Amino acid sequence: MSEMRTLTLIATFVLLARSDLPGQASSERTDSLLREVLVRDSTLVLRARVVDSLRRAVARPVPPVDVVHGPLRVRTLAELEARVSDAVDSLAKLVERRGGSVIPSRVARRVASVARDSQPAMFGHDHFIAITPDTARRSWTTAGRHRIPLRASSGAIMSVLTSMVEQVAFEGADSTLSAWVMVGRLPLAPASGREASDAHVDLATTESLALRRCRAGDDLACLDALGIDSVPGSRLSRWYAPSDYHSLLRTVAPPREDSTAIVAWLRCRNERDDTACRTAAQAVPDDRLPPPLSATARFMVLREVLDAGGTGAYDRLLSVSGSLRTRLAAASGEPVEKTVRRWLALVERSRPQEMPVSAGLVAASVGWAGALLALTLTRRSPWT
Amino acid sequence: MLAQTLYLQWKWNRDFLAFFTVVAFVAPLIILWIALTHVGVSSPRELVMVGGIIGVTAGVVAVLAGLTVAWHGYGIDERAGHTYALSLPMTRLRALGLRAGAAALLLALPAMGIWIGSMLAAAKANLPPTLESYAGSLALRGLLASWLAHACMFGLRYAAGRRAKAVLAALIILGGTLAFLSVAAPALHDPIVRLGRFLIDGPGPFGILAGRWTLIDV
Repeated sequence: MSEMRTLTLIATFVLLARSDLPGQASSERTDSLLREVLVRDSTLVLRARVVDSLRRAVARPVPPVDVVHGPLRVRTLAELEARVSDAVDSLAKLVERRGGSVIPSRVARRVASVARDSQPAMFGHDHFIAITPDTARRSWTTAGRHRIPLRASSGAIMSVLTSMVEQVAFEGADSTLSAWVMVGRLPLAPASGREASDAHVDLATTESLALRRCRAGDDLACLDALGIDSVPGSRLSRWYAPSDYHSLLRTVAPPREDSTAIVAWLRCRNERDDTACRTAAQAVPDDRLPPPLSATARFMVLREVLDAGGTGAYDRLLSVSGSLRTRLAAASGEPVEKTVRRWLALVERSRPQEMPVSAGLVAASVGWAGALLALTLTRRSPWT
Repeated sequence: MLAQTLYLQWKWNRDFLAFFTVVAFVAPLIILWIALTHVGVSSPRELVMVGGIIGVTAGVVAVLAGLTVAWHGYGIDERAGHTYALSLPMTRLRALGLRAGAAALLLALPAMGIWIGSMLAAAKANLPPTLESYAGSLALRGLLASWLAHACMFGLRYAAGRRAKAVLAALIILGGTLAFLSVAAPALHDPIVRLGRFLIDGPGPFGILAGRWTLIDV
């Protein structure tokens, strides 16, 4: 770039030198020439940038080391190979555990890239590992790109790669399944404690008739709350009792065109008037009512289905036609009620225990406070 | 001698202790009263949120109580030129040990305020069966946090003496600088984050402060 600019400047000066410029030329002429030089120079800079950008778009550098485990293929650098290889190996085992042909074939179409990258910061450069889902895509430099610290462990690399592979594996799923799962991912990794405790919090804090029935052992209510199967009636009557309307109407409002319902909604929120709550709740369209359980719960149920079904469960889930309930049962190889009961037992067991103070924390806290005091007491100094 | 030190500490700090104990007792009741009657909180999710506000308030009161007791005790001693402590027939180590022990005992008062106030508030909230009140855990956290805060301020005051304010200012500047460098200098980001995690994670020195503080939870 700088060479081109220098050449341009030299060429311009040579041309100027060859022309018949008088020694005492007017300042206006000199200024106009200088302006022309600057304009041409900036134009060249812009064009060079465009060319450079096109060159990068056509021929991108791909990391040289190829890490292949099963259907997974990842390009990386020699310095990251050991960590990436560990991560890909562990991920390949997860893919193998699900088995079948759909997941491996979808995963094999992509080549992820794990490379070192950097960007300028206020002091020095920020060096990091950039993980991109597919080197073949034009937009791979920005879309879906993840950044993790340069010294991240193989576990951290695996976590990002797993998330990417979960998305890739779910691509192309039919609309019924996609709409039900909501998160656009296929569960490959085992359930984390956090996920189950989040579902427990959902279950314990959402005021819903369907959830209360589900927790009391009503399988149909569980299936309804999870969106797998429905029982007759509107969503409002199935999911929420009149006593739940007040908390429901804190998260959803009737259509703004319905002024009567809006007035009732405001009265319900402010004065807790039961009749107003009923009017407002009944005015909310069925498709706008929030499901009692979040997407996390559905994702967990899908994991239970695939775990129960073993190898090829996902293939069966995609290939079998019929209702969602039929497909989930075919994939798991057991009645959906059984799967959902197992999921519910797992969630009930996963009550977060964040508030009780453990003996270890008490000991640590007292120990640190004592250590601080001991440091003060043993300091050999006068009182002041 | 402990009884005498305890009496002296009580005499010095009773106003502040009474204030913090009353605030710790009243805060859960007032917050819940506002939430229930004025905001109209009723759902379990909202109750958990209100419980979080009560928990954080209790934590702040506990930490302030610990800091104040240590700061004020040293201030009175310093104004008198430490003559009382110097007049005692005991070593500096023993005198300070007794003073720290007496303060630790007195700091149980705000924690008891938290406990009783929280129990009354939880009883008033009429919690659904899916939620639980953690008045005891909150009070225990408050006690531990006030001990830790007291130890920090006690250490600063008695170890740094007249330079305590300068040392405190230096610590604040150091903290601010580290926070700035963790963003502006990527090379230092990881070590600073590791240091921060050591300080506030689980069994770290300030782990008790960084945990969950709530009166109502699942």
